[in-house]
Amino acid sequence: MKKSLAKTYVVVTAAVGLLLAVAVPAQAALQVDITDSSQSAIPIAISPFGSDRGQLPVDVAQVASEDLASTGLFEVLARQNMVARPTRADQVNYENWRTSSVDNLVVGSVAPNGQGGYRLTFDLLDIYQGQSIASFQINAGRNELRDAAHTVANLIYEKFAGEKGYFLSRIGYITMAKENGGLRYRLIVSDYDGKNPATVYFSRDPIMSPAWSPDGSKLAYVAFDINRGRSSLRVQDLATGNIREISSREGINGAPAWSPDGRRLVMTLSYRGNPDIYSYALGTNQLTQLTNNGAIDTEASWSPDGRHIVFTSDRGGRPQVYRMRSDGGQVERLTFEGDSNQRASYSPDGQKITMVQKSGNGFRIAVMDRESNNIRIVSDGPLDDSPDFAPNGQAIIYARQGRSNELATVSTDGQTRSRLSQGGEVREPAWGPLGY
Amino acid sequence: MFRKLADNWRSVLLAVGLHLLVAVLLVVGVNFVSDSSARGNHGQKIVRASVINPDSVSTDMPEMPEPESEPESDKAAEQTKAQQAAEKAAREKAEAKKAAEAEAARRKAEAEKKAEAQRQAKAQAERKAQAKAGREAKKEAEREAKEKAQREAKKEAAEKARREAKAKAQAEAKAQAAREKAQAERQAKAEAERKAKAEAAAKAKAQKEAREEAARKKREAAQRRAAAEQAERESSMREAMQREAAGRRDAANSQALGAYVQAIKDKVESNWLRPPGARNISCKVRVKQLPGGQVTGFRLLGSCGSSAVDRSVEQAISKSDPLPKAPSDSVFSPEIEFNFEPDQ
Repeated sequence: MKKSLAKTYVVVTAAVGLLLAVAVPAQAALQVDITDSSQSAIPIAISPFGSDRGQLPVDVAQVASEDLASTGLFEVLARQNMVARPTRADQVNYENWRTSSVDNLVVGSVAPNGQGGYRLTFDLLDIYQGQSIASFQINAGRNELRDAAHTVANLIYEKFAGEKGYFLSRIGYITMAKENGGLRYRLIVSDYDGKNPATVYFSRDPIMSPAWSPDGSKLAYVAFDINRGRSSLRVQDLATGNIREISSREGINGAPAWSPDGRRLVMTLSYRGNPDIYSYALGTNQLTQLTNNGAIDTEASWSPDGRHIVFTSDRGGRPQVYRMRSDGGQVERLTFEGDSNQRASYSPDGQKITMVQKSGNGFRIAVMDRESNNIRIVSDGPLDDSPDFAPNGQAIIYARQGRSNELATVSTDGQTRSRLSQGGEVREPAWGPLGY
Repeated sequence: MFRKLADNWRSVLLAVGLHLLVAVLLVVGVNFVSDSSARGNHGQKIVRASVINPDSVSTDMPEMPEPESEPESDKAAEQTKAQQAAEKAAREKAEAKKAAEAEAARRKAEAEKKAEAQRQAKAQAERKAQAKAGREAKKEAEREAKEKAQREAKKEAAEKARREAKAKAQAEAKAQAAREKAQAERQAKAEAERKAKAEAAAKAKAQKEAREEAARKKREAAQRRAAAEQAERESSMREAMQREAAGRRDAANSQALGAYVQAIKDKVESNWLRPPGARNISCKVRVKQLPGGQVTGFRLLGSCGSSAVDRSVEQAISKSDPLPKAPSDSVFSPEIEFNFEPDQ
């Protein structure tokens, strides 16, 4: 077979003669250079998961479909447009699905796992290859079917995107709503999509600046006590509810951020008169002043490698983003575009910094590429605030203010946006770790 | 400088020559008088004399020892002396002539007086004898005077000739020396010039030859190159013609092949959904196909960078099945190698 093939190559070469540049006759195979790709989303359909027990408490396929669709990376076929609803690979008529312009199909089922929970089994099918390219099995507890659905989405997402999905991550944010005739502030933690919200802290006085510990077990935030005229920077354990007060000095106790190893917090304190950035060692309670400047230095955020801290300073006149070594040395200004830039934070890979840029179009979310220093505006404004990268770096969550106050996510390239509606005014989202 | 000097020497020579000529003329002029006085004739008699051209004479003269060059003042004194001597001689001659004439007149008168007295005292017979004696005496006196004059003239002529010869020889020798010196200088100069000219000419010739040699070599190299180019042109033209002949056959194929490759490229690219943020993608995929474009199998030759990109590439291929059909059997290849190298 090989020999006859080689012979054929020779014949082809002779017949073709001088080939074009794209077709150098190396080893006689026709050469084709692929230099571009489609900008389209990936067509996929998730057929409803089968169940022996009838209606499940969670529509797994639906949850997973919404997960994938929210990223903008996938074009998810609506259920009503499906030509069939197979639950096993051997039920699939690939030809029919091809005509539906679906490249990928997920078929699966949920069965009891014998421990009161569920066992999810599913296949990722390539319609054009006409075969399964991946098979999965997931165990879930009785109340974990929704998480299991997110896990299905994570597995599919990773197969196509090459990154872990963030569908099991959680977000923290502040709500402000009138309750019983007065303003009430809540620190909320929910799923990444705003589902399953839970109040972590409740107050008649303002709450500000939630920040996730790297392991996702704690939140640092600032609580005010209007009567005492004090603010309190604290760390709350989400599992136990225990609160540890870090600083309630005179003046500002604000803008906490965790070091990547979770051992330190940087924060803004003004008890010495001027707002400066301090580093606090959680193990030793040692406080170190990092900036000492007549201007306001605040909103510090650690680089993922722990070597640098970005922060906002108006030492140049207007608030701009600066970077210093994590010991406070080698301060350099990073932003020069727009009227002002503030609230900077790093992407998980350290390659990008997101921030709020004020310009003629108001306050919008910007993404700076650290390699090129190019800045791309990814939101519309006019009052966007508090950007934070998703734990896989593929999206940014931020707060939109205006007629309705809400949270929104945008893919890092600015292509896809989705909203997470909440009641009342929503502020200061913080995106937690992956969750798995 | 040489030329200036040479010109000066010429002037000097001319001056000397002119002076000599004047001296000679003076001598010759004295001879007129003496000649004419010898005859007792006050009329002028032309003496045969020639103006000597020193240059023309020089060749006739025997070679003489080179005299020491005399200063200009000595020459002038000598010339003055010569002139004075000549004048003195002329005066002496004139006095001698006058004396001779007076003596002759006195004798004649005495003889006539004597003959008158004899004639008167003696007889007529005696008159004849007396006349005869008178005639003879007169004749004798005349003869003596004539001889004396002739001797003196001869002596004077010899002296003159001697002086002339001497002056001539001196002038000649001087002129000769000057000429020789000038000649020698001219020769030396000419020789130097000739030598310099010869050297310059030799040098120029050598340079010219070198240039010509270089030019010749260049020409030859150019000719060789041209010949080589010509040969190559001819060869490549032949090849081109052969190619053209083959090309005419293949042109359709090539064109069809280009369109075919582009069609495959377009289809695969439109079916390739690259994972967001995937960077440094680079891989090859070998695809086997049937003449109708149906993919019978494919494999990645190494990873494209990540499993997600691998997956996207595989899907791009499988989604592109069937590939565009080859427009003819001649451009069809049962195997295609895709190079996934997207711009970042």
